[in-house]
Amino acid sequence: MANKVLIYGAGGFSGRLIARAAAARWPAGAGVQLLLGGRRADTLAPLAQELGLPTRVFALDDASALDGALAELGLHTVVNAAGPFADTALPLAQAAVRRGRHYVDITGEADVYQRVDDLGYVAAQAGVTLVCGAGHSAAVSDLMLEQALSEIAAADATAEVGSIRIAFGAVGAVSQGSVRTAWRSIREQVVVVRGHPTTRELRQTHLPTGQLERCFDFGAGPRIASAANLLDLHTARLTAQRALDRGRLQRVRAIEAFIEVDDAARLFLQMGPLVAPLLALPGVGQAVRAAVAGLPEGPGAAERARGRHQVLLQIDDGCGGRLADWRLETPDPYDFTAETVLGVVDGLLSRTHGPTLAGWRTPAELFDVAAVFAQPQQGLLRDCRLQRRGLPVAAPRLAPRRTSRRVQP
Amino acid sequence: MSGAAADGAVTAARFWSGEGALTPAAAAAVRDATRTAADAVLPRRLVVEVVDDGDGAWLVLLATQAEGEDAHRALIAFGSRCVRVDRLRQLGFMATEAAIRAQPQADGSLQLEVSDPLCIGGVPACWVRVHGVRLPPAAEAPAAADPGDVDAQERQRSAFTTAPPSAAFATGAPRIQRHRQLQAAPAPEDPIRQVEREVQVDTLRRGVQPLGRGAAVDLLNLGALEAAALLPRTWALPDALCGHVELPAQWLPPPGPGAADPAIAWAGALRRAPRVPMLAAAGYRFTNVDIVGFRIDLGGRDDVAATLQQMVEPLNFHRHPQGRLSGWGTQAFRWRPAARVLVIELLRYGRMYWGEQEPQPGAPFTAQHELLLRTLVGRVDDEGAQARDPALFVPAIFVDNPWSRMIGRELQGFPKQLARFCSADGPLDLSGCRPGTQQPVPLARVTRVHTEPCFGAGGRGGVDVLGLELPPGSDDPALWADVRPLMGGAGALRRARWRQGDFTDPQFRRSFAGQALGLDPAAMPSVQVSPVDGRALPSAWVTGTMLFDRMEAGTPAGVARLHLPRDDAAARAQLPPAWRALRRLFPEGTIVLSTGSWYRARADLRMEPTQG
Repeated sequence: MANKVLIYGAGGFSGRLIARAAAARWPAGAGVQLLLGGRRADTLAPLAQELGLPTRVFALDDASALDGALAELGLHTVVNAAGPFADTALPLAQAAVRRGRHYVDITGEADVYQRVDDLGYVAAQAGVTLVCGAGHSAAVSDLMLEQALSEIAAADATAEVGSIRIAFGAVGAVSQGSVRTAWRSIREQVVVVRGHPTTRELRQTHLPTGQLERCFDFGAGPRIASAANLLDLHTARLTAQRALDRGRLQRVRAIEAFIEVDDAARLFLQMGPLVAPLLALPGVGQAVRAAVAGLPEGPGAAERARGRHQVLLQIDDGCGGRLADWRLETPDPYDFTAETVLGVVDGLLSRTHGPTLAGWRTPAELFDVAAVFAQPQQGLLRDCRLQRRGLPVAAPRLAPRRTSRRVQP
Repeated sequence: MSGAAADGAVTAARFWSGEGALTPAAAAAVRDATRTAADAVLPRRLVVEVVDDGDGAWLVLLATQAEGEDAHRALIAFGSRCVRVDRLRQLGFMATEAAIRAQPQADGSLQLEVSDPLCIGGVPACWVRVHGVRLPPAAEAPAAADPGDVDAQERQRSAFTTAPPSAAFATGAPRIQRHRQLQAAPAPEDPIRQVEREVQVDTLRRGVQPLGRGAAVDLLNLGALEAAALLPRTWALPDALCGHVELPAQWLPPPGPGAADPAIAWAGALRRAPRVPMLAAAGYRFTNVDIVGFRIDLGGRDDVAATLQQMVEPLNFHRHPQGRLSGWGTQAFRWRPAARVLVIELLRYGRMYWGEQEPQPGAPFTAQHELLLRTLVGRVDDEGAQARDPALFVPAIFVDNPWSRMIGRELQGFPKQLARFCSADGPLDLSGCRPGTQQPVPLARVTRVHTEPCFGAGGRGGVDVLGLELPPGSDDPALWADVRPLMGGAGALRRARWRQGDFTDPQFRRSFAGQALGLDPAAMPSVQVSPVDGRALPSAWVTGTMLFDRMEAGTPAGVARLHLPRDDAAARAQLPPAWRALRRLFPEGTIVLSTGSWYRARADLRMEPTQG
């Protein structure tokens, strides 16, 4: 029997992109049976007709319908593309764990990620894999970080990492879901990760929005980026912690995630803490929701074809020297989300994994990361451009701090 | 299999077993009642086994054997020592405590009566009677342990005898008897289902000799257990054997704390199944529940935080150092005590139901007393500013109904221990009656609760759990008429449990306190951890809701005094860590509670498990 993959939220903007890419990747007879799921039959019907795929209509607040749907014979993986993930991720992930189905989503909401993370223990015991943030955010940065840390560890088994910085270039056009996520995050503080001074523990701490800024070169000269509460920070924390726990690294001092901002956005972020209480007022929330509903559902095909996106990864050693400075240019994030999430599903389908891969996993764990970067012209990175502006070098463990080695764009 | 204890001593005991054919109808009934489809083999024979270590500790096993199989599958096991029963449960035997009395008969055989362990006065409620038991001559008795050292006594009993094996033991062809059992516990991802694993427990028999005369077993009353398919009737056991048995090392008490975490050691090697049919009721229902509650306010003390955290630490099993590499995620939350308040409750359950099943007259699972220590806990993210998910957690609980103890431990994660509840005039039965009376003694007249670690002839070695002194009049039935109009209802119970000022830690002060105080006292969420005995199965949070109906509550006037036992060697052997921690919070050993700090309540109660 073919393994079944259910794409829940296939009627939404990202869901449709994923469903079309999945149908192209796994045509009939390829051993994977795709199912389109969602809350409303009418939004699923056109896509189901276009792709010739069966649908499963159920709401997540109906526990018996949800459990019944996930009990379907042969169902292997559930892909959740239905936002807002604050409403959908936890019930769908819980039901998936109960029913022994792997769960993958494309959430970009950090608080959702942390809430679903609490299921890691029970998922591991149930032999179920949970991968949150398998879209462009946070799969791209996670793949880059996994590879870079592997190379650093291979170059120096006693490597000490000072800072890991992930930075995203500005995105041209965004979907309604992304705007809603950004709106929610305005009221939150920015999370950064700091290494414990005496142990290998990585702990998160909070800073006011707009306080931490840094310059990055996204390809057109130095641009200001502001620290943001990105999901990528949480996957980076897990990936770095994994390297520490396995003894591949000795120390990581800090992890931060940034997003490029223009002057208006900077002002907005810096004012965010002040206006946050006002944004919480019911009337404001309603007005914003109405305004968001008036926006286009997402960028059109032409916009997406033009849109390229820059993701930067910088890793410093303990003395401020640069160990890695990578820039990856990807296709439009919404299109690339479909690629990364299907890569994760492919990893789940093709990997003969036992309990060692069950539980809470970052996207990179489902890829053969070395192979992805060994031949970037093929596979996942075929439409990307990777620029390595600094190769891993042995960490100067005893050298004095040499600021001249820092790459300051 | 090992025939020697960890210290090298042979663990020898005497055994007798009798076998007889099952009728086809009985065999089919047993098969249908067995736990999972994997076990649904048709049994052919009924096996009754009796083990005696010569020190007053008995085991009685009812098992079946399928055609062509040499292994036995125990349906139920009875033990006269709590420690040994717990060990049997860890090994996958459905085991419960029982008083087991051996009465010599005129023909030289023994008649064993297995009955309610805490039954008082008159003829105890007999569950099983075995006739014609003939044991081989006893080995030399072990040296007695210091009578004051209950811990050492219990260790010695658990290890059976350390005496050199008798001549009979050393001779004769050894024979291995295998038991095939299911270890089970609530599934971590869905505690209303279970994870299970088939385990084989082998015992080495020596000096085995067939007996000329057979025996019989009367199965009288076993509640809704699988073995209930065989009763009520007498079964002939024409094929009998006796000899000596070397008990396997796994039968001995488990290693102490620090052993490898079972959740990591065993993950992935388990199968999932619906619950055992007998335990598959959706919820448990109790009517006529009488409660005396004591609110112990520790708010003004700075030295209690660590002790309270210690009490709730079993909930934090997920914080395992290897967990991150096992896919457990960041494990970035911890259960913490939400308020510096503990609640001790003494309860009497008038009638107890499994699901909607009406308790049968004379059935073993009908009523009970309960004494529990309860605290409010919340989940705190490591870097979070606010706690969430308020729930009740019970770190220590005592009951006088062995079936309730078994089910509470197996399914709901309540670490129940057996205890006897007494009034000033002596022990009370499950309904609260004194011997020869039908009228229950009022709950407020319970003055003492103490443990009973061993049953049968010469029950011994118990320790006090709690002494209670309530003011005169608190047992007066007219109390309800007085308090109901004034302070009755759920509101009184809410005030008696937590107040805003109890939430002193920053993470619990604001929204959490609001949530906790806003909880409907008639629907309290709860969280427990299973398994409670460290068996080699993954741990699970078992969540549920305690639903109270027809609640009446009030705060009687007067000062109540609670007397806690000394934290000595005997207490360490028999009382749970949380109860001993409570004692350490009150070095003087007495808790004095004024009006308003203790309450009376009456309600019907349902325990509904939460799915997933």
